[in-house]
Amino acid sequence: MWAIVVMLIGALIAAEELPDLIRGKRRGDIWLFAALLLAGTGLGVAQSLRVEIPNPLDAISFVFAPVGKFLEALFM
Amino acid sequence: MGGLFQTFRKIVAGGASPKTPPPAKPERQELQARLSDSLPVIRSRIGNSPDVIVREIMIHQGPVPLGAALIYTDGLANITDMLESLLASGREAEASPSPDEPVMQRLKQTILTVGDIKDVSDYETLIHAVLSGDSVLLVDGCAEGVIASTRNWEDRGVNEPSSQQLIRGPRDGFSETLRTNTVLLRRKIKDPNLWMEMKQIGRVTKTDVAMVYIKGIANEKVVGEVRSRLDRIDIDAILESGYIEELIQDETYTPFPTIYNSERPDAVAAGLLEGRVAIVVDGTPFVLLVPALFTHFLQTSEDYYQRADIGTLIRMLRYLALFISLLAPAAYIAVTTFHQEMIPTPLLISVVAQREGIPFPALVEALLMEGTFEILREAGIRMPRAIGQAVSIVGALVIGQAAVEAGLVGPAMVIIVSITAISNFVIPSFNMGITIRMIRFLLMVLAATFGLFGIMVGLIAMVLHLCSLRSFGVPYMAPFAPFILEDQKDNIFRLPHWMLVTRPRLISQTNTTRQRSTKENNPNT
Amino acid sequence: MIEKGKISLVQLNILVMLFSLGSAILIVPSALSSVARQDGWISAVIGVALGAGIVQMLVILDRQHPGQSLVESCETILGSFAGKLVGMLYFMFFFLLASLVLRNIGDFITTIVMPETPIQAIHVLFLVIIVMGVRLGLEVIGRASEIFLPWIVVLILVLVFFIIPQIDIDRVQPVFEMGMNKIMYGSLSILGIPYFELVVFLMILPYVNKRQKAGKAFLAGSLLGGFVLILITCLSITVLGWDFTARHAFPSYTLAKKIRIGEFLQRIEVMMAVIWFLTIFFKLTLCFYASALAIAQVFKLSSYRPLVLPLGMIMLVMSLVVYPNIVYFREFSSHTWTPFAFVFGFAFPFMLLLLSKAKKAVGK
Repeated sequence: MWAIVVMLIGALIAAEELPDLIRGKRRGDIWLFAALLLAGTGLGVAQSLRVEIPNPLDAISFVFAPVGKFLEALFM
Repeated sequence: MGGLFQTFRKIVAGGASPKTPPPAKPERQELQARLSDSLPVIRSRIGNSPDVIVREIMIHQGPVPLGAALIYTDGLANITDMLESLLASGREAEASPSPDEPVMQRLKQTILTVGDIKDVSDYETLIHAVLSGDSVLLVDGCAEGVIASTRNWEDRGVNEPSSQQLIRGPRDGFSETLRTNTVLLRRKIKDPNLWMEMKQIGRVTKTDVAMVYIKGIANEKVVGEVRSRLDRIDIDAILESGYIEELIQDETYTPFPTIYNSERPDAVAAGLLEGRVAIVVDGTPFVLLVPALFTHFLQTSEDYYQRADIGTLIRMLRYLALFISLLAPAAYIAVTTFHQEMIPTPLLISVVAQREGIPFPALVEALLMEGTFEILREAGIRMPRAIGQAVSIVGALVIGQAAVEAGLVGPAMVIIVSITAISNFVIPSFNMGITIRMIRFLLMVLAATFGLFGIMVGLIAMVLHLCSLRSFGVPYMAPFAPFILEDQKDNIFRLPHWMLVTRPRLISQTNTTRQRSTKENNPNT
Repeated sequence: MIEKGKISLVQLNILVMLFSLGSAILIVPSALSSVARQDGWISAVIGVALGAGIVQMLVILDRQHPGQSLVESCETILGSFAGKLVGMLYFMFFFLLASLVLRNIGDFITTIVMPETPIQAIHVLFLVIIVMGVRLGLEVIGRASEIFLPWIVVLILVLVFFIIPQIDIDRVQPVFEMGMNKIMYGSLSILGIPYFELVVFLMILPYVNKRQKAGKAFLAGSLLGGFVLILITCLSITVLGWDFTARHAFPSYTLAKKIRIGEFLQRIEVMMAVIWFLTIFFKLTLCFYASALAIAQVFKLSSYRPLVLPLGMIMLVMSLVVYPNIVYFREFSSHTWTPFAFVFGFAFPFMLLLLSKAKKAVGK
């Protein structure tokens, strides 16, 4: 159910923004908008279908957690 | 505005925008010289309406009496003076035979003793003049007529305004006649810089609209903007200043009024002196004032007539009332539904005990009572005065007491609704009051779904919207945001008059000083 | 220029202050006292002083390329490709920060204020006003901050005033028990939140009136925010005690719960919640605004506004998946966030500053 709602919202956003964008005739703008909207809708649908979405903090932690631990060891 | 919204608007408006071009103006038709030619044309143009009177008379200028016609609208024009002067001229003419100068010239220069006189040479102008209450004198053999200002019709007179009453202050109010209204303004401001620009708006109604401002104080940009927005209007009828308001406001899709209206000449004069522009519309006592900021809707002219400390406290009271009428029911719903722990225990017990047998959730209870009250209020405005009392009894007893006794609503809810309603009446301007009433319902729904968090979100959204508004280019929330320190003297506070040295900064930008400096003015030194 | 509005110095000052209070006002006391215990307030003071230094460095960087935002000056300094790359990294940083902050408020409400409400609903509702604010533009955000500042100040004053009777000064003793090392380490957490995050304002500084004085307003705002943070930390430690402060996720909220004047005036912690909603609204809006502006500038768009709604959708999902539970987040914020934010809030800007100076020196 929620997946449909998400797609509907995506369509609404497109209907809201696209006419102005197309009138602006700037291809870059339209492409970036479309890419972001697709990403947003895709993620939204995935989330509502309870698909595991990789956690960005894990990647950051992988790099920076050792630094943090090192700092802690340094000061404590 | 985005595409979706525009599409929606197009659908609603039926896409009817200018497909049909405005009807071409009828061609200018010159007056004919002979009365026997021109009078039938005039009669047929107005469809022989009996209220327009074409009276043929003879005037004695020189040896041969001349045929003439006096045309006026019965009830709109007072032609006693005209007739008198014409008759007198006849007697004189018999005594001294005339020189050779043209009849028209003499009529205008020496005979007609009426104030304002204009020439007319085409039917359009003539008929418009007659229908506006002027009378037209045509002379046989002349392809030109004279318009004499004879406007004089039944008027309500200068009465006390009923929409904005006050204890101390002038009792005169605008009426339905444009001229009376401009007179009231002139009487308050006797300065040659009080300028008026007349316009006729409305294809059919041809309503007179006057744009009034004080040259040198009003911001030229705003004046130009008002002028161009008025000129842009193309509509068949202007029956009230509300039409103009909707046609010239900055932002249509907002619940907040961005144009101030007043029935009070003193309020409008004060606005003019601050550098604002007034728009007086014939046929209504409500004069528009722009730019109008949020804070103007919470001020009254009485703030300036009472002592400064009283004015300040009353203004603070109004802001308090604004918050109460905006938030009280929503806060009650949020607290009773989600945050019972916030209420001190004894109070909680009594509130809960009251709500014991009530079958509805707090939101329904509140909507029920608020809805009832709005209906009662609307009924009270529209119905004949004699029945008003009956409604208030029904309202107070039946709805209030009976609903509580029947266990439909709790007594606390009745108190909340009453305090909300009374607070709403404190807001001096009716249209701002309505806005707050509408937003209140929105906040109630948010409170019922998200508690205090919902209320906060609603408030933040409201403030964001308010901050994005402008009235004729001036930020709506000024002088709160952008914060202007020197304008705080006359915002929530109303400092003594000798401290109000400058005009509001964003409104008047040319001549901002009202008086000597505070130091010189201080009566205590 | 993508953004046409301008904000005044006062508005910048207020925005910086609200931004620094943002999520920090609830989180920082706990982070500080979990490391430095009763000396947490000293850590706070040191952290604010160091933070002022960081802000000063950001101001100097901003002066190198007046009128250019961080992303634009990246391209000027690093060239097109590397500049765009760093610009995109900053976009991600701002966006991640915004998502984290959104999740913070979701956590706060679902754990403390309204446990029955689904977190998605709260995120959606809050996003609605964020998106609204960002689409209306910087000018409107600035003006709204002026409207809300008095509320926040009054609420903080009331809070402080009423909590004074509960202060027990013995709770800060013994002073310096933990030694300088731990105190310094504690101060890192206040650097991570909010001082490294203040780099967001490099996206906003170009749109300030009277640019020459913008640096001063920036610094003053961050110091004011820092002062309030120190104050709240001191109060948390002296009223609640360091152990309670450290154990609790939102100690300043608990602090407000302690207020009890007579029988009637109690349980007014909702004031604290209001302060938090307001400050976090501005923090989140500015982060989101900066991220939308950053990506629009990297791709040289004519306006950032069309991107706001799609970005909002992404942020909604992002904020829900960004961390699985609050324990994970506490671990993350105490160990990982500070070095991560250090890269974006200090290392990159400092490098850019050096490069820019070097370039100018070579150019001469």
